[in-house]
Amino acid sequence: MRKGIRKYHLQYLPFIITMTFFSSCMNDEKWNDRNKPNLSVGEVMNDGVIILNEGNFMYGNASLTYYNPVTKKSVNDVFYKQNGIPLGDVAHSAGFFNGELFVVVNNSGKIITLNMGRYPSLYAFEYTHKITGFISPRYIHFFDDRKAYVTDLYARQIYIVYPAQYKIKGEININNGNVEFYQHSAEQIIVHGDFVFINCYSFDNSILVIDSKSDKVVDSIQVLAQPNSMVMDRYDKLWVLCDGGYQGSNFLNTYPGLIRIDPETRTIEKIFIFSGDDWPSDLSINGSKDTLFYLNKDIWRMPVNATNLPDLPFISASDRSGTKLFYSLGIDPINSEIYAGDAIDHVQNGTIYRFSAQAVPIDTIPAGIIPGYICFVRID
Amino acid sequence: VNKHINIIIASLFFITSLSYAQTLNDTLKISAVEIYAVRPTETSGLVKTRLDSLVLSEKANNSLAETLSEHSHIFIRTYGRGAMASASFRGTAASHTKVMWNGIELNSPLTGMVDFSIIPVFFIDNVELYHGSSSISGTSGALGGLISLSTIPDWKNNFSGSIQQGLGSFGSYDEYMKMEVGNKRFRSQTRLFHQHSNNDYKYINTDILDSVDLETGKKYHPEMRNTEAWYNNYGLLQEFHFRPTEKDFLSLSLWGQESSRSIPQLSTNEAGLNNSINRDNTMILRGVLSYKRYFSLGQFNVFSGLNYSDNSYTLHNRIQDNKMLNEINSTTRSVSYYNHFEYSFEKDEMNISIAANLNIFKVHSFEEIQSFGYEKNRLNPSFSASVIKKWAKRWRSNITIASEMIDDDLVPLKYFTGMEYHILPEDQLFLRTSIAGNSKYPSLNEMYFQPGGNPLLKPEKSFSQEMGIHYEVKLKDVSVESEIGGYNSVVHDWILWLPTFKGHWVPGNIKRVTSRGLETNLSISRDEGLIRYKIKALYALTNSINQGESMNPSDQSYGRQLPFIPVHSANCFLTLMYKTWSVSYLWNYYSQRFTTTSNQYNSSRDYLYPYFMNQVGVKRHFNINKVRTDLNLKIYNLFNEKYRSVLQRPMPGRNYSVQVKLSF
Repeated sequence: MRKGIRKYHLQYLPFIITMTFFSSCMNDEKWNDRNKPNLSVGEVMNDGVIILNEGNFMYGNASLTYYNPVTKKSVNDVFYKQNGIPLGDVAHSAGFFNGELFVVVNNSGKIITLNMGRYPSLYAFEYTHKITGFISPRYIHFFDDRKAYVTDLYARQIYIVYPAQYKIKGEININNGNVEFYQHSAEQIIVHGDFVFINCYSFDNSILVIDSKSDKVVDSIQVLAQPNSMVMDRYDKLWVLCDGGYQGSNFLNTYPGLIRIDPETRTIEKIFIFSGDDWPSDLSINGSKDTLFYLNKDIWRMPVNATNLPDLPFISASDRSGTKLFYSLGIDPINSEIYAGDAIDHVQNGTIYRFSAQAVPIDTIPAGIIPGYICFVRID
Repeated sequence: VNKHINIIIASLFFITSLSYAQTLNDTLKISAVEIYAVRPTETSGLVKTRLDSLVLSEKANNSLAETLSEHSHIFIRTYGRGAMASASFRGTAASHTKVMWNGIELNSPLTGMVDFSIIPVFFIDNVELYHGSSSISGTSGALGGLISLSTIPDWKNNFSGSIQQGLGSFGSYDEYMKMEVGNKRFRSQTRLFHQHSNNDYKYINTDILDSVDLETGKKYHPEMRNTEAWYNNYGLLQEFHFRPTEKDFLSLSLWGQESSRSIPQLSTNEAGLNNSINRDNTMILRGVLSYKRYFSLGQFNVFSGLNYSDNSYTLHNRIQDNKMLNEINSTTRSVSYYNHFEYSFEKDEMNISIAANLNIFKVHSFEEIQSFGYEKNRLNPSFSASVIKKWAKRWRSNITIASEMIDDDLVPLKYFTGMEYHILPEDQLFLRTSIAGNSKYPSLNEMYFQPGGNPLLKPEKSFSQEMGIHYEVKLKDVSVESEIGGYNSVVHDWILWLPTFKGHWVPGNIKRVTSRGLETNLSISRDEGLIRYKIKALYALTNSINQGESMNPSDQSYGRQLPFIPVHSANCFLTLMYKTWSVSYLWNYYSQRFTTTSNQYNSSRDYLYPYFMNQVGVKRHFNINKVRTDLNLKIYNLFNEKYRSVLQRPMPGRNYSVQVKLSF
């Protein structure tokens, strides 16, 4: 038998050579980008714009972009580079409080806090704490270090958070028992005196009014279908933008509209109706709170005392170079500069276009995948 | 000496392919390699490969997803063990790969796709792959290729059967039973299977932090379990075959199956067990009744088939008072009826075949929470004809044309023209070349899904060219087969779902995609002697490039590789047999895959790093009386790699499976 094997040994050569190729070289850590930006808190907090990039739903590739409007330099994916872990799935909004940035990560059910000065030994954007256990958190609003509200798309409740302890300490029930359209969802938060106004967007048409003293829903205002965004103007009027819902759905389908509400009387004072083909979103207001901005394919501008919707866009999404897909809008509260996020095809890094208050292009800022929320550090 | 030199040269060819695969270069130089190839002459220009019966036997307890991913040129994109798996053939989209079983199509008429994770290899006796436009000979719209699955009756044994029990890591167990009875005229074959896995492997979750020491900056990652990741499949395949004469065959095949699973949360999720709780249930019923008659110069084949699928998907959240509330509750049902008639005859070294089909699709799709849905019927008559002709001694040509209608729309004509040249009359060395045009009509979801369906979509159209060489040689007890081929394909009006300013996504004929590549394979086997072995190695170079118009100057996707398509892929399967023992080894490789259309490198989440996977199996069989017993131990992920197939979904480390099979 030994002779037999030796005689045919060359016939096994392919087999033996092949085995030598079964190497392995996969290593997660090896591929992590550890090029830490180590930005100082002072630099970021002096003059900074932070862009939350949603990332793709169910990809877990949300990211943060830091942009310095003075130097026009930006750092993409600053959270991952600083901390070596992903931010999560769908970074939705953020708020500054007590030297930390609270980033609401919608489809990860959590809020991650980042150092913005609370811990002097740490760099900006360094991970500090987390608040977990939400279902689908959307926005956070701080009252003091013992109380903040967090809205949620699917929890049917508003969470009461203890910011100083990074914990959920209670809930406000907003379940209306409607199984078909999963109501109420809760979105943006605007405070007027002791009362909190919350728009219910997804397949809904309500603005809830909550007494922040008792943490109870005390009233609701019916508006057009799907109120997606709200602002308060300098005259203490609440503006609500509704996209009108989806054609083809059995849910209430209305024309899109811009609505002015008196928060004192909780009554609708004005309604501006859009055409059925419009889809307005991202209602924003300038620093002096006298001019509204919103997206509706293009960027539109409207004084709060206007009697009609504008006829022409302020900044067009289309020009000779192509068409931008404006996905987010932010107005600098100091100089009213306009930042508009272009998500392009949603499967590549997006771009932020920066314009002066007079719509003159200033800069084009590389951002992450689906830039969806723009924070201006200077206001806090 | 010649024999040894031939083996070494063949080995070098295969090693060269693998070496290139590991360099991560997009350029593959092959000019210095001597090539051996093999080509079945009857295909005449078609690129058709068949999965080895040894592979099908080894993978009987696996899904078609794992089998194709490890043993073919097809790239399978999977979301994890037991989770949705779709195919990319030659760098095309998932709906561009068609799958047929005993002649009927398994692709969903709603999405155009197939979930390969729920097709059990145990139900399949033969897998043939028609690469690229070679698919025109079997179906329409398969721009990437066609996977043809079939069952084959065993007329040799009057009574045979087997029982197989498997146990594996992570609470995995599976059972298989096969029984065949009959005589020369009639045959009944029954197959039953059940697969279950808790799939709850542990892993260190490096995507989240348990805590961080704010003094030292040290971070702690939690150890977690892959919870809510179970899957469960069971099914029955019953076949009756009747052979009243030597020329007549009547068959009835019935396939019933139920599959259910839960998809785990992303590794970044910290909602606890409150959100993203989901259930995906699919019930399938398929049947084919066929009749085939052979004449002296030809054959006649007719069949009718049905493919029914009922899928429900729920995604729910645990809200206050521990109540579960549906966030998504969708139901999709489809019934597809297939009717096929085919007649072919051969005369004067010319084979002529004509076929006609009448297919009917009925679909229903509804999402209860948002109250969206649609119902639609589609009528799809089609006709095809092919002529294969042998010219002189060495030339053979193949011309196929196919035409189809969808309701009132005439779909662009499909055609395939191929030539084959027998280079060396004494040897099995062939050169093949072809030019073809193919088209795919939009799926029903693409046209009617709510919200976003676009009824104005045009069919996707491809134009492709191919060339390849095949060689086969038998050197005493060692057989060598090899093949190398290149292709170039352009798909116009590629359908892509894109976001709109209205928030929802709408499909459009957006892109022009060019797909160019190289496919090689090498098989060396020694079937006799004390030690026998078989080596099968495959390599594919796939450049699938977006050449559609940029949306605006910020759009960086032009000229880039499509997301999730690896440029290089390779695998090698070795089996060494000694008496009643056999050892098998599988190596599988994909180069990095981008997750963005712009192929950016901002962080490691913009791409999935190269994938090297190794598995080993040891098998022994012995007989007790007339019962043959096979014992099979497999070790998956041999080197305990940390890897991922999609972002934020950790895959299992080293794991094991034991199979015991009793056959008589």
